[in-house]
Parts: sequence; structure tokens; C-alpha cells
Amino acid sequence: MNADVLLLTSRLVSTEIDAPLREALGCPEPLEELSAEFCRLFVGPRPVCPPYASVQRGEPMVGGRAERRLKDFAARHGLDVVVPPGFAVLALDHLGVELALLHHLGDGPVAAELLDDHLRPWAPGYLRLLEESARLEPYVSAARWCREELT
Amino acid sequence: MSTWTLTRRDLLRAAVVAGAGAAGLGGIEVVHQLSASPGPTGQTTGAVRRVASMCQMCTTACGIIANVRDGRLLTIEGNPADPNSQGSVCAKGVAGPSVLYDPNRLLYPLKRVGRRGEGKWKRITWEEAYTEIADRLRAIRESGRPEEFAFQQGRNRSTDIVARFLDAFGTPSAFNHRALCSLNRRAAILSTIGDSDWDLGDFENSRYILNFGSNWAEAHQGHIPVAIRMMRARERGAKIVTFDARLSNTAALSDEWHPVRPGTDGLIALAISHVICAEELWDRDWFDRWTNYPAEKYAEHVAAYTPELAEAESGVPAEAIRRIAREFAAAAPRCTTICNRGSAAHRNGFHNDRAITVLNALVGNMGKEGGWCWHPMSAWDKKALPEPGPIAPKPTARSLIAEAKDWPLANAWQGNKMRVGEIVYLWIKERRQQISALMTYNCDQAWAWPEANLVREVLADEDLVPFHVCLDVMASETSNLADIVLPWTTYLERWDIDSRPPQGLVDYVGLRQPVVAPLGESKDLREIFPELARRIGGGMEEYFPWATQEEYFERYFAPVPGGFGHMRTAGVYVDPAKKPNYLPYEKELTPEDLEGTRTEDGVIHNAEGPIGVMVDGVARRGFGTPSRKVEVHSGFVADRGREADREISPLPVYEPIPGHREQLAQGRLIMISFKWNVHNAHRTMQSKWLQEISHTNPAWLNPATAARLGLVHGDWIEVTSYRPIDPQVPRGDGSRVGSLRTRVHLTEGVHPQVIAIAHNAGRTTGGPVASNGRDRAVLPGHEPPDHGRVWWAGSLSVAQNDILPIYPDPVSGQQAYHDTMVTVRRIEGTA
Repeated sequence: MNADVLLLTSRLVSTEIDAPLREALGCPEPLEELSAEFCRLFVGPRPVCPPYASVQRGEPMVGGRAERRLKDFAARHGLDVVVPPGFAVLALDHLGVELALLHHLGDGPVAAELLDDHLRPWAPGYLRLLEESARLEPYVSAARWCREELT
Repeated sequence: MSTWTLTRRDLLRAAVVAGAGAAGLGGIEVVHQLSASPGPTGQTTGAVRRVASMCQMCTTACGIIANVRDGRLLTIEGNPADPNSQGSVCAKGVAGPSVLYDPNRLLYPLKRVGRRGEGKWKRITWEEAYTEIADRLRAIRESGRPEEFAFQQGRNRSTDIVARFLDAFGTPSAFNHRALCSLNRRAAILSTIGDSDWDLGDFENSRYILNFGSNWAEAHQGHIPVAIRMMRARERGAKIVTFDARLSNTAALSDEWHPVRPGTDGLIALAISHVICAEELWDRDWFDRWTNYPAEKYAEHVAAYTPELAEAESGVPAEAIRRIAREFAAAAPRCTTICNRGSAAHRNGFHNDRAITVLNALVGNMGKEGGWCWHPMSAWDKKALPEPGPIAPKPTARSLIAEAKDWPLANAWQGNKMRVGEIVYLWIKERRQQISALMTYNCDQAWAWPEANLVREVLADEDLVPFHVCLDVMASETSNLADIVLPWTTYLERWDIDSRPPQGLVDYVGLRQPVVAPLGESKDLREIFPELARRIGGGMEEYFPWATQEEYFERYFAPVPGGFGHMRTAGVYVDPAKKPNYLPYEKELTPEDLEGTRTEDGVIHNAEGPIGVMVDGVARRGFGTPSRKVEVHSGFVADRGREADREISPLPVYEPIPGHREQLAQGRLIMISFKWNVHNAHRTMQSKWLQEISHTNPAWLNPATAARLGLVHGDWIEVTSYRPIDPQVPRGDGSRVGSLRTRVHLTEGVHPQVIAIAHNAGRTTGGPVASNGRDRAVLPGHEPPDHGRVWWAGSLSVAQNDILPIYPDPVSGQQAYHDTMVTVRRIEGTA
């Protein structure tokens, strides 16, 4: 599994691209355009691709059962997640969190459990939606590569 | 779409930088903690915490208990300690978690980056939002024209902090929605008894209840507190008779339902009065002692309002009116009326509600156990629990729109300014008052107002509204037309001191407290306003001296035994020494009360005004009117009318709605609106749990009417509305307002001259739940049809408000919601 793809996608779906990341990626779009695209995709009003397992799996509330199951998984394996302030992450069933966990775990049975029980039921379909909905790079390619990693 | 494509090389470069932890690239961090023994799956940790608070899914503010575990709200139930709701909550209350955790909630400050209304946003920090808003508002304040900052509120249960901020700023341009809600009822009650603008029938102890168009089982402002008492009374054998144009769930819970033509409720009350007077079923002694008009003369006044006239106008059989009059009078004093929008939201609604109110005086049930009662406090006891100082003085600047002087009763009562909400955007469009900044708070006027398309047009115009900040929980038609959107906390994440008119006739006070921490970056006014005041400066900040919200409420609740701590635990406080507000007018004045007073025509005055009245040689408190009696004859309203060049009858009268008879004869119908039991306003359509229950609004038509129009159940129709033909109403030229397309729902449960459409529908923005999937962008994934998704996507959902004309009652300014004339024609195809 390509750790770089996981790391970058986790970062891209969790908060706006800032100046250093824009430079590292070589994005030609101005920061404001990138911020508007981030908002349109993930934050709203009326986000096109809310990056939460609960929402994508049809739960009526953000978080909900999906977050509870993920918290339980993290607790059983002694994993703690720290979301930096300012990140648009409301609940731990956020794709950015699940990818960060996968990145941290690398390979092995715990990573496989995370993949099979938490990510694969929704993330590939979600990433296809993101790839189709995003109007700007790097969201399009990151979504495609990440989906390829997960499937 | 950019032509640039991310390459694997770019990715590698970014990831290397990210991995090196360069500034700004830090991501979500995962820490592997040593754990002695991983716990088994499926176990929960932590106990459920029960937090007492107050609901705000609607305006009834019932006491609730939130069950919270690990910082997450699980369920909501009623708080038995709340004296009003007594442990009951409605479906809306139970659905609170679906609003708190709504996937489409606004959670970050946003600034528009495209055209206004285009829907293109970027996140900004609170610091940026505060700076920009404060700079704008400071400039307005320093210009010496503070009235150019307008505040548009919807339901406001944080009245203390809102008034504090607006007063400190100095703007009188505080626009509310009372004229769209309860203005006529309030004005009628105030002008008649003076003590209160809100009747609180003692339903629980009543034997006979006459309901004129109040849908208390579904939508009344006193919803649950009224409904539980009505049902208890009925279990004990009380009779409930409902007059309504539509078979509401309230009508269904009544013993009798009489379909009435809209706008004739007052005539029915006058006809009942006619029977009571003619057959001397009245409590004449009480009427002559406690009203300012002789019973004999009132009998002469109502003589013309025969049951036959009422039958011809309303459709209620004269014999039924006679029988009901006799039954009502026989139950006195344990009988009462209740009325609301069905009687009040009309062009003649002020007189309708006056006629209904006076009906109670006729049978002498006022203030008596089981009778028509009230309480002088519409909220908590503000003498016992005063607002913590320093208090800002009231603004001296003037607002033409808020004063609305064309409508003599809108602002006739000191301390009860009701405004005329429906004309605000029309007058902004007509440039009657300059608006330099507008702040919208918990309001979706761009969807909810009559002629909502006009509101949208005004809000989209940057010349008319140069700066618009919207503060709400969810995206709406209005937030879509803002420059800055501030994410507001839900009622489950914030503080309030609150209470409602006490249905148990003993005042109380409640606390709304956060049951969970605010989600995302949402904040409440109580945090935003002090910060803005500090940044605007110029002395404003002095009115916000406390460091935290908790400190403010510690001061506020200090007079309660146990203080803030008690409130946090119990959620509510009732002074056990207080008794129900029965017969307040009979209270004798004490020698201390009478010191330094003078008596003129029986009315006792002190230096501040009338305080009592001589009745049978005894000085009593009486009523809060100028005559200290029930003002069957209101010189006050007649005088206010004269000042505004409007004729207002001092006695309750029936004034037919101008143009109705002629247009009904031409085959036009009267369009009315209504609310479902699971819906309130724009907010509840955001709740997936509630939308699942009710998400569509076909037009109710009587089968006889449908047959006349050649319609069958399910047909598509076009409904076209017209302005009133009424020179006393703005643009009252009878011209076409607009059309909507909907389908026919045939039912005997609606008056044959009426077409009824629920207004809880027709949202176009706010996500797939609110808009029945119309807002396609939000559907996360397109086809998977699992039942958790919006399975009702595509259901009929029509915005009625767009075709309701702005139609203020010329007397008061109340929006005449139920007087719109329409034509209906069958169309082929779909919407």
C-alpha cells in the first residue's frame, strides 16, 4: 500500500490546501479557488461529498454507528487519534481519520481489520464519487489513486 | 476544470514534505498507546449522563432531559419537573439529535467568493469573520445612523442578549416575525383585558371548550402544555368544539368539528353572543360589574348578528350555533374559548379575536377556575430575576420600518412592539429606509415570508442590502444570499434563560444548557455578541462585562434557591409560594396602594397612572386597561385608529373580507396554509427523522369542489393567487401574484370554498433531506437505494409562500395568511 497516497489523501479531505502544500504539489490555482473547492466538496453549505462513513452509509446523523464502531476499534487496539485544530473533522468516521489510521498501521492483521470492517464498505464508492465530483486537482487524482490502493 | 494534472512525482514531493513535518503540512496524528489488555468489542464505556434543558424545535420551549454518553447525545425525553409540559414532548422534540448531527449543518464561518447567491464559499476563521463584521458595524455606528444596521430574527429565545446588543449598538431596526404569527390575537387580548396579550384557558378544569381555529394538537405556540391539559379535560368528560376550515388533528381530537369559511370565526362568536344575550343565558351581573359596557347595550349591539347570518357567511348551521351557545353558557364558569391563527390571521382577525374574547365576559368565566384565564407574565418573573446590569438604554434613533405607522395597533402598546414583519422587504425595496447591514438570525425569510420571491430579490441586490450576515444552524434560502455565514449552535449546545406563558397559571423559569459541546466551529450569539461589542467599541463593550457565559448565568440565577447549581441540575424552578392567577382583578388594594391616589369616574390613579377601580364601594385591582375593566368598548383602539386615519370600531364587529363574496361567486377559492404536527418552520425540514414522516404537501380539496372543477384525486393543478382588492392594503389592486403546480388530495375534511396547502415544504436548498432530493448536489452517492437514504426524493414539495401576497390587516399589520383568493385549473403532466 502506498503510504504517500494515504497520507496525502487524508490531509486533502481534512482541511484546505495551504501555501506550503500548494507549493509542494505545484498547484497553479490560487489558494482561494482551492479553498472554495474544498468547501464545495467537504464542508458546504450542501457539501457534495461529505467524507463521513455514517453519511455515506445512509445514517441520519454524522457520526452515529460508524463512529462508535471506529472508536471501539481504536480503543481495542490502543490507538488514539489527534485531530489538529482547524481541521474540518466532526467525527472519527471521517475518511481523513480512517486513512491516517491505516497509514499508521501499515500492513498486518490490525490494518486488515480496519480495511475490511471500516474502510472498504464505503470508501471506494465514496472516492469514486469524489473523483467524479471534484473540479480541481489534486482532489481528482488523489481520489483515484487512493481508491486503487484500497481495492 | 483545470488542465493541470497531479503526477506521481508531485505526490512524492508533497508526501516527502509532509513526512518531514514541514510547517502547515501536519496532518491527523495517530498515537499508539500501550494498552494492558484490549477490551472486547461491543462494550460501551461511561455511564449515560442525564442533562435537564429546554427544547427549541419550536417555540413552546418544553422541558427536556438529554441522555448523553461519552459526549454524544443519544436520546431526548421530557422533563417531568417542567410545570408547563410536565414530562411530555412531541415528535419534533424527540427528533432533536437528527438536527444536532445533521450532515448538512453549517459548522464553519463561510465567506462568499462568487456572486451573491451563487453558492461559492470559502471557510474563514472566526477572527476574520469578527474583524470584517465589526469593521462594517463600527462604521455604521460611527456614521451616526445606527438604524441602518438591521437585525432580522425568526424565533428568538435569547431575547436578553439580542436586546442588549441591539440597544448597546443603538439600532431600533429590530425586525421580528410577530405580524406573521400572533399579532391580532395579542392585540385583541391586550385591548380587552390589558393585563396580558396571551390567554391561558384553564382547560384542565374546564367542562366546555370552544376552539376557534387553534391547532393546539399540532402547531400552537403552547402546543404540548395545552394539548396534555385538553386531553385530560376530555377524559373527565369535557366537550371540545372546534371551528376550523380544515379537519386538523386538533379537530379530529374534538367532540365536534364544524368547517367554517375562513374569516368568519368572529361572526360565529358574535352569533353565539347573540343567542346568549337573547335567551339571557349570560352572567349579566359579572358583565355589568367588570366590563366597561352595559350588558343591555351589548345585547343591542349583537342583535344584528343572528345565527342565520352566521350560517349564510360561515356555513355553520344556525341550529348548531344556538345549541353550542346554550351548552357553552350552561357550563359557565367552567367553560372557555381558545383561538389562534385560524381566527386571527385574517384581514379582520383583530375583531374576530375581540369578539371571541368578549364571549367569555358574557358568561362571566374570566379568571375563574376552569374558565378563560391569563397570567401577567409571558416569561419568568423579571422583578424576582432581573437581568444582570449594566443595562443599555433603549435606542433614540428611529426606524421607519420598525415603527410601521400605517398600522395603528402594531406598536400601540408600550413594551409590546409587534412590528409589521411582512412589509420589511417591500419597504427596503421601495427605499423607505436605508439598510447598510443586515444580520439574519435563525430566520429563513427568503423561504418563509409571504412573497418570499420578493425577499430573495431584495437580498440578492447589493445596492439594497450592501452587507448581509446570516447566523443559522443550517444552510437555507436566506443563508444562500448572505456575504458571511456564521455557524450557529443548536439549542442543544447553548445557554438560555427561558420560559413560556405558564399554562398552569403559576410563572416559572427554565434553563437551556449545552448538553454536548458545540460541533465544529459553531458558536452562539452569547459568545459572538460580546466579542463583536468589544471590537466595535465606542462604549458597547461596557454592557458585556462578564468573562464567561456561566458567570452571566450565575448572576442571573442567583435569586433562585440553590442558584445556578440548582438550575443546572433541575433545569427549572417554580416558586412554591406562588398560587395560580385566578381572579386577579378582585384583589383589594391595600391602604399602602391607595396612599396618594385620586379617584376619577371610579378609576383609581396614582402618579404613574390607573392602578385600580372602585367596584361596589371596594377598591380593587381590576384589569390593566385604561378603565381598569374588561374593555368591551375600547376607546383606546378607536383613538389609535383616528391618529393613523383608520377607522377602528371600538366594539367587536364582523367585517367581511373585501372582495371575498364577489370572487367566491365567480368560483374562486380561498387558499389557506397549515402546519403538520411534525413540522415547524425551515428548521424541521432539515431533520431526516421528521421529513421521513411528512415530506409532501398536495392541495386539499373538497370532493364537491373537485367535481365542480372536473378534478379527481391525484390530478395536477395550477393554483394562481391574486392580491386583495382593498385600497387599505399595499398594492391591493387584485392583480395576479403567482402560480404553483401541485396535485389534488380529495377529502371531506376541508370547507368546500377552501383549498388548503401545508406550508412546511418547498425548500430548494439545505440538502437532500430538506428539499426532497431537489438539492441534487448533496446526495452523497447517487443510486444505492438503502432505506437510510432520502427514499422520498422527488416527492411533491411546493413552496406556498411565494404566492401568498403581502397582506397586512389595515388595523394591526397582522399578515392575513388565510384570505388569499385563488383560481384552480387542471393541467397535464407534472410540476
